[in-house]
Amino acid sequence: MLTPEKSIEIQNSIGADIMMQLDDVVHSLTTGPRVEEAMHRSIRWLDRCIKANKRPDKQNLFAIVQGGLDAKLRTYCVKEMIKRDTPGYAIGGLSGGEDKDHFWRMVTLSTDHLPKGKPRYCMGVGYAIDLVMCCALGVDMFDCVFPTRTARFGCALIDSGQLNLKSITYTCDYEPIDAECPCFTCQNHSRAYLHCIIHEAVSAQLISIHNISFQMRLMERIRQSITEDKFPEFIRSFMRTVYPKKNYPSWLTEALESVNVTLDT
Amino acid sequence: MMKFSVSKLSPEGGRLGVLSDIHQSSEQRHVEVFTPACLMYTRGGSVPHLTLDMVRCLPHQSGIVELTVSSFIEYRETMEGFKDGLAKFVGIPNALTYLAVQDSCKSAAAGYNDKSTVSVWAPSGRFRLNSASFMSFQRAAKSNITEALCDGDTREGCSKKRIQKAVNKTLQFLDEILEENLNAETCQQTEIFGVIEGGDLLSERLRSTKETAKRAVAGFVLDSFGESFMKEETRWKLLEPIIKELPEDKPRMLPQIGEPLDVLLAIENGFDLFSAFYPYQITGKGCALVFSWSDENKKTLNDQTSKSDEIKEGFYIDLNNKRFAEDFSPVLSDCECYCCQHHTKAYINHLLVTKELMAGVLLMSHNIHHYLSYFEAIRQAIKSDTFALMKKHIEEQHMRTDR
Repeated sequence: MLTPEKSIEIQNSIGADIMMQLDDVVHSLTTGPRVEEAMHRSIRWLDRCIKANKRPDKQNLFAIVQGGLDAKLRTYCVKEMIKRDTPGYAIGGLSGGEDKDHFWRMVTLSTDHLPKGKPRYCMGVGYAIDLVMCCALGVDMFDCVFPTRTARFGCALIDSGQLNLKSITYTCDYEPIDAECPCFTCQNHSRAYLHCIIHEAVSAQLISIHNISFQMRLMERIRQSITEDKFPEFIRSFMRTVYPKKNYPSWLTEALESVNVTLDT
Repeated sequence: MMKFSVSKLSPEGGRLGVLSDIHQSSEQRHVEVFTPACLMYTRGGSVPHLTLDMVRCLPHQSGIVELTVSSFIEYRETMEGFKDGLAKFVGIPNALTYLAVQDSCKSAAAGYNDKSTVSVWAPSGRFRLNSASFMSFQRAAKSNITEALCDGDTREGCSKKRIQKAVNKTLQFLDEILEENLNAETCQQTEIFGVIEGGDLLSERLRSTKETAKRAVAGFVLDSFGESFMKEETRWKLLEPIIKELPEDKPRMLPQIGEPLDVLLAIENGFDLFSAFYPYQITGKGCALVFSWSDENKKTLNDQTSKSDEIKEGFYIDLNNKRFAEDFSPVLSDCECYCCQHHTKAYINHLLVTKELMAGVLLMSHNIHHYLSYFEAIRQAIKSDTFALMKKHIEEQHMRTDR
C-alpha cells in the first residue's frame, strides 16, 4: 500500500520531470459520502506530498482535483488546491465510464476555476473527439492507454473512427491505414498485410506506431489551428468527418456551445 | 538458371560457395549469396518481433528471405488480387524470396497427408495442396526460389511403406512442378529446389537423393531431418552418404537445423543453406545468445551479480532468471546490436517480468544479430582454415548448454 510519502519517494528516485500527487480516487460512478471523503483526503495528501518532495527544483509536482461528479465538491477542491500553488493541475476522477454529459461539465467547471497561467492535465483522455472537445474547454495535457491498447487488439485509428484490421473486410484492401499519414507503418505496409499478420507480435507494434502517430498529429493539428485562429473551424471540420450524417450527440453540441462553437447542421 | 560455384573446398570439411544469377524481377537487387548462409526466417513475411527498420540494421544478411506457404495459403485471394508478389506485399520489394512449404520451426501435425495431397496448416486451419494448386499459389507469390511440394510426414517410428510413399509422392510432385515451371512464361518462372525425403531409412534417403539428382533442379533440400523425425545417432550418419550422391555445383539446404553445433556438423558434411529460425526459438524462451566462436572473440559475460568462475554459460542465458534483475550491463559487452547498445540485462529481465512486447523486440534484435555474425564467422573460418578450431570451441559450449 502506498502512502503519499512513499509515492513521492519513489517518484523522486524515478526522476520524472512531472510527477503526480497521490490522490484518493473513487470510481466516477460512486455516490454518497465516500466521494466527499476522498476529496478531502486528496487535499490532505497533496499537502503531505508537497512536504515530502525532496526535489522541488528539479521535478514538477502536479495536484489532482477530485470531487467526483458533484459540482459543489469539485469547486471546493479546485479552490483549495489552487491555494497550494503547484506547478500544474490535473483533473482527476473522470474517464471512468460516466455519462459524457457529466464528464464535460466537470471538465469545464475545473478549467473555469484553474489558473490560466498553469497547465491543466485531464487524466485518462482518450478518444479523438474527447481530445478535441477538452481542448475546446481549456485543457492542455492528456494521457491515455487507448491508442496502444486498441492497437494490440488490431484496431487502427483514423479521423472518422477505427479500422478493425482483424475483419475480413481488409483482406484485399491494399491501401495503407491512412494515405496521408507519414508514420512508418503507413509508409511501408497495407491494411491487407496487417490483416495477414494480425496474430504476430509485430502487428501490435506496427499498429501502435500508427495510432501514436495519429494522436500526435491530431494534437499538432489542434495547436496549428489555434495558432492560425482557426480552431472553431477545425473543430467543425473534424466533427463532420467523425459524424458525416451530422448526427452529433447532444453532450458534444452542448459542450461546444458552452464555449461558443456551433457545429454544422 | 541460378548458378552456384564453389570457391573453396575446405580440407577440414565444409565449402565456400557463391549463389548468383537467381531468377528475379527488375525491381530486385542483384544479389550474390555467399555460403554457408542462413535465410532470414519470417512468420507471415515479417522477421518475428522486428519491424523493417530494425531488420535493415542487421549485419551480414544473406539477401534471401524465407517465406512459408503455411503462413500465406489462407490469403491466396489477397495475393492474387495484389498481383505483384509476396515480397512487395510484405514490404520488402528488393529482397529475394525463398518459398518453403512448411515452417522450419514447427513441424506440421502428423497423419494429414493423403494419396495425392499435402496438408499445410494456416492459422485458420488445414489446407490441402497438390502440385497444381501449389504452383498456382507460387505464381501469385512470385518467389525467386521455390521448394517443390513434398511429403515430409515421416516421423520417427513410421513404417517403411509410409516412407516409400513419401519418397514416391515427393518425386511425382517434383516432376509435375518442373514441367509446370518449364511451360510457364519466363517472367513467371522460379528456381526449383528438389526435396529429399526418406525418413530415417538410409536406403530410402539414397533412393530419393539419386532420383532427385537426376532432375533439372537448381538445388536440394533435405527435409524431415529435425528433432521429431529421427534419433540423434541416425541423423548425423545419414548426411555423408546423401551428400556423396549430390552434384557439387548445386546448393544444398538443411532447413530444420539451427543449433550452433548442429550447423557446423551440417556444414562439415557439405551443406550450404540454412533457415535462421533458431534465434526466434531462443527469443521465445526469454533467452539471449552469448556463445563465442573463437578464443579471441570470447565475449565477456559482464555479470555483476555472480562469480564468473561459478557460472559457465552455454550458448545462451535465461534473462527470466532473478540474478539479472540488477545487472546493469548489456547482454554482451562488445556486441553492436541495438539491444546491447541501448539496454541492460536488468531492463530485459524487467520487461519479461512485466510481460511487455518490448522483451521480444530487444531479445530478437540481439539474437538474430548474433546468429548472422556467427554465420559470417563460419565463412571466415573456412576461408582461414580455422574451421576445426571453431568446431572445438563450439563443442565445449554445447556441452554446457541445457537443452
